[in-house]
Amino acid sequence: MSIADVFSAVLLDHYRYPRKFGKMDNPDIEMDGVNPLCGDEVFLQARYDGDKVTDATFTGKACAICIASTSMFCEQAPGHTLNEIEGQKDRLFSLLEKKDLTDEERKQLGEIVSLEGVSQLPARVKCALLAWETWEIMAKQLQEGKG
Amino acid sequence: MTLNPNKVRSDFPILETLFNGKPLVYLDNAATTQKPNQVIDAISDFYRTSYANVHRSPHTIGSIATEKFEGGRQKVADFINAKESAEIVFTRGTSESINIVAGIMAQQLLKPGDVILTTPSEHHSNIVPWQMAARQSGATLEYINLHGEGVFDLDEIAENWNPRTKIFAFQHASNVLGTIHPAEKLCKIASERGCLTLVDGAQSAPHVPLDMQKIGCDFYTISAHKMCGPSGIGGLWAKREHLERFEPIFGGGEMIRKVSMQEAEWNDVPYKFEPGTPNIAGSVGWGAAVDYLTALGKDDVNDYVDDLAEYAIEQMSSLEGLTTHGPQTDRTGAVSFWIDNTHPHDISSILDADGIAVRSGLHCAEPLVNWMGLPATTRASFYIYNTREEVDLLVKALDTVRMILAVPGL
Repeated sequence: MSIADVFSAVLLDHYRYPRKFGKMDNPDIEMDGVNPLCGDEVFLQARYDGDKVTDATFTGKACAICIASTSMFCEQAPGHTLNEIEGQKDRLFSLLEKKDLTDEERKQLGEIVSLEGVSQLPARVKCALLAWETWEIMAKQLQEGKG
Repeated sequence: MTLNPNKVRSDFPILETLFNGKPLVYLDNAATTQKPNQVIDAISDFYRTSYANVHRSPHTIGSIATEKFEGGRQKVADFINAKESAEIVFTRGTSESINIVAGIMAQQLLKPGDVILTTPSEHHSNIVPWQMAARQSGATLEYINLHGEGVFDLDEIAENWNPRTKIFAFQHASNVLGTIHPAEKLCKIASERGCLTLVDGAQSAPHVPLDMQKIGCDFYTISAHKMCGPSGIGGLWAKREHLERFEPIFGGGEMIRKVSMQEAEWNDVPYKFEPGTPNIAGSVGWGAAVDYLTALGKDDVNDYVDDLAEYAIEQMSSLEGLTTHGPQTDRTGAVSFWIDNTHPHDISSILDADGIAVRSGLHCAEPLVNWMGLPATTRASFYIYNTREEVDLLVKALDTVRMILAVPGL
């Protein structure tokens, strides 16, 4: 795989035209995700109806990999439960750790499969995970609030 | 005599190693420099033939080790024109050197309401220890202003001087911008006002010929690994009067003359600031690095790197959408740049695939990068073994970056 393949057409499309980029009114939860080593920063906001995420948006300054991954997160999360999103995060982790995924799992990942090349760049895996790791903390807070 | 980069390159074995199938183009020298055979061999030979603990060993090999260890200290002292080798306290590096001074100031000098003065251009290692010292002592941490491409205004500093300023800590050279600041003049402003000065020399020592008798500071801090020496050793230079006057902040073996159940008597300087077994081979390796740079010629090193950085700035600036930061001339080899619509991390990954090692991010200088109004920068930093051909490879690879990442229509 060449470096140009890492920056796949789908990844670059999300970077150039990030989906769900902007701030929302009245979010149920919001959080700043920062990667202190490199300075990547994404601000995630979401609405939650007690069962499913109903909307997610983001702003921030970050690299192509981080922006693309965050854009995909915000596009995919709405309509899904916290458990379902966690399952998707686990599949992304597996993808970046070069673990074998079933065809079904790849199908579930959707466009996130385009981040696969990042697994070739160990120093950049954290960029692809920033939004998902930030969401993990947010989901915990939502669950605690719910309980 | 000018520096011959091909001769220099033959001394650095790592330059023959392939990375990602490509010859290494190592442009991360502001982070750390590679090591010549002369340094690798000196350390290896020392471990093979002369290694033992220093100073208190009763045996012959201990005396030999002590002689070589202290020989390294003397070479470093000569390199920066210290009055005597006892003015060099060995530390783990610049960060530890600054922490020691900041700790001493917090414990022994600063009072509530006093002022610690620094600059927004500093490496975190010359900011965070002072934040801690301010919290511990009740002093306030104040900053001078940056102007233009990150330079200081001497008149403004003098005019705005707060008489409660007890220590002024500033960098000799910027690790992000490559700027070399007028350390002598800055020290003069401070010392005329009864203020102590600490100069962070991590980025200047590898480039600028140093003379502790001229610079006029009270403390100067350096790291071996940024000047071809091993990692894990550095120095705190201080005038003997300060080393005599201030108390150590770390205790242990080696730093004492006499210990009873309740108290201890300190050893002579510099040993009273060096508890525990020191980095013995580190001193030997650093001494070899100093010998190496001295043999190349300090002025030649400075001229060669300055010239190469100027060439790089000229070539890189020809790329559309690329802006370099920092001075055009009279600089160190650290060149930060920004390419429109392209994030530095993506640039460094794509360059890495071509075997070109640069750094991207905040460079441990977050306040400075914020001041520049950028989320991060990419930094190519040059040293004695880099060549114009490597600069050309960098420029060609940056063109590939633009082809891969360019945003259409922007």
